[in-house]
Amino acid sequence: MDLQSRTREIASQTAAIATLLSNDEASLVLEQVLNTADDGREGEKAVEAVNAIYGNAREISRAIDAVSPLVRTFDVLGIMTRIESSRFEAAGMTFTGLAESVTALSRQIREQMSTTAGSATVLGETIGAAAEQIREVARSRRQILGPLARQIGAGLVKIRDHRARISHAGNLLAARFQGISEAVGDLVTALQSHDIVRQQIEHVVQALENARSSGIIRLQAAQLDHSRRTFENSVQQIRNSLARIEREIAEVAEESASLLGRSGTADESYLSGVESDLAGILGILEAGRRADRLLREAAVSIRERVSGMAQTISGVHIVGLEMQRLALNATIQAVRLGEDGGALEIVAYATRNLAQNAGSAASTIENLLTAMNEGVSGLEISTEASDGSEAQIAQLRHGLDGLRSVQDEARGANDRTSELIAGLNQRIHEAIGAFGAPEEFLDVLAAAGKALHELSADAGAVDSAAMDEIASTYTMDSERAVHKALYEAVPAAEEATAAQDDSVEFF
Amino acid sequence: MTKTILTVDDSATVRQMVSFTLKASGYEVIEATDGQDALTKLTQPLNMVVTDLNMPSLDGIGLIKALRAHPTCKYVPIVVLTTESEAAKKQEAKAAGATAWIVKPFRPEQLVTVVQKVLG
Repeated sequence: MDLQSRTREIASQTAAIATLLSNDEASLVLEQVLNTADDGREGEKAVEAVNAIYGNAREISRAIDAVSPLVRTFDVLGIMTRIESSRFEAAGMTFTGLAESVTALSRQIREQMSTTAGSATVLGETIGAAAEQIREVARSRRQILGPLARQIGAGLVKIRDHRARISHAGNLLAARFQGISEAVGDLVTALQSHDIVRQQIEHVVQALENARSSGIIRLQAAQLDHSRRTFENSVQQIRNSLARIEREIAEVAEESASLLGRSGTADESYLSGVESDLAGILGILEAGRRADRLLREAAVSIRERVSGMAQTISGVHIVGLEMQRLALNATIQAVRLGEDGGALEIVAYATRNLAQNAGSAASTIENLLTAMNEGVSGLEISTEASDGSEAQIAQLRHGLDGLRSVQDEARGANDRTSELIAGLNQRIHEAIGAFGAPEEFLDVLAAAGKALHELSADAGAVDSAAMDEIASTYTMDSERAVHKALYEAVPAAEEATAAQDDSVEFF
Repeated sequence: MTKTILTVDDSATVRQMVSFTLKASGYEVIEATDGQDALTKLTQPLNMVVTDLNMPSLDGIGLIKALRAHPTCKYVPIVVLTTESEAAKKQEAKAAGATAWIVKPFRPEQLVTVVQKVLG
């Protein structure tokens, strides 16, 4: 009778699997994450920001290159100033200081512009490297991330649909288990009948031991016939019950195998596809994270260089102002010299112009540096998306772990269910085997009945006193019914029995 | 808390069927082979007794009367489980103190329904 408990355990396992799979939040979370996943558009902002900074860097380089002729002109101016200065030495006047100042200032400007040019070159290289990487990641995101996310989403939907079918299969299996339960109930009833038959036979034996007439023997032959039929029916009921249990279990095994077993293969294939695609997404997201980290480092480096360049360029302004002051002095001296100061006036004019041009070039470069700082700010904002990527990566990993965990649990439960079903099948077969062949017992009953009938063939008048005595030993309605059927009249003591047979009564 | 039911029957098959049915429904079951054997099981708390009528040593009616005289079993529900359906026998059991009557063979769900109804 552990069939019932085994069946109950299988039903419990199947229900547990159904509950586990219907509560699969892992694939739901993954799907939600992927639906909100960056499909590449966020990466475009970083590319735009880097491209803008790259443009700034090129313009800065061009602006620096534009200053080179000015620097050479300063050199020429220095030479001219020395020439003019020496010409006036003969007249007792000297502009050596002017010449030296112009030469020194031109050297300062050259050094500052050289430093700035060097910084610009490094800046260009830094930005170039970062730009290349972010462009590559953006391309991957644009071309691959979106389709991958959609593919995974489709895979997850398949997994969830399949699991929903499995959970609904619990209803199908419940009907099978109900059938098994009913069959077990039939077995319980049938086995009690064997005990009832035993009691009936004991009564027959007792009655025969005291039999004084062939009428009694004839009655007992009829009782024995009834017992044999009861036993025969119960045997058939037991056989039918066991066959039904075997059939229901076979259908349970088949349905479980097709649903739960299929979840092992179908789910596995969907899951391996999901895992593979997720690995691709994680790779792209991590590459993006690395690129963003690189960009942030580049942004810091750019800011430092820009700050250095801005300081250098501010030096050019100072030199320019100094140049203008010299030019003014030269102009004043030229006026004092009158006609002789013509060349000096030219030098002063040239100096003033160059100073203004140098200041203007410095302002241009300063504006470009300011624009570059703004561009870097934009870049830093765009790299903040990597924080979201971090969280996304963590969520995806967690979701995948959850998915694997659900799969492992369901697989384990499926294995246990398969074992239970196999065990139950074996018990069924053992029960069927142990039941044996009751035909031998039926043959004995038939032979005994036949013998009693032969013995009572010449049964004469019924001894009513003996019949009453026999009737008083009856404990079952079935015995009274056989008695009544044989002799029509119900014994006096039994006439009062009118109540319809009701199997349950509460007092 | 798990309820304990004493099943009394001289047939091992019937005791097995009753025990299997009630255990499957969450009850604890103690078995006794007849009325006399049942009286030795009263040292532990019982929530219900299911007894046959026709048994050697001490039959069902005798057991019911003894249980009703026992201080710990005075109010324990007693269900008679028997092949008998005669009105006189039912009356006798009722007079002795039985709570309900089930005619064999019983179906498992029938027995469980009666037990649940009696125990509440």
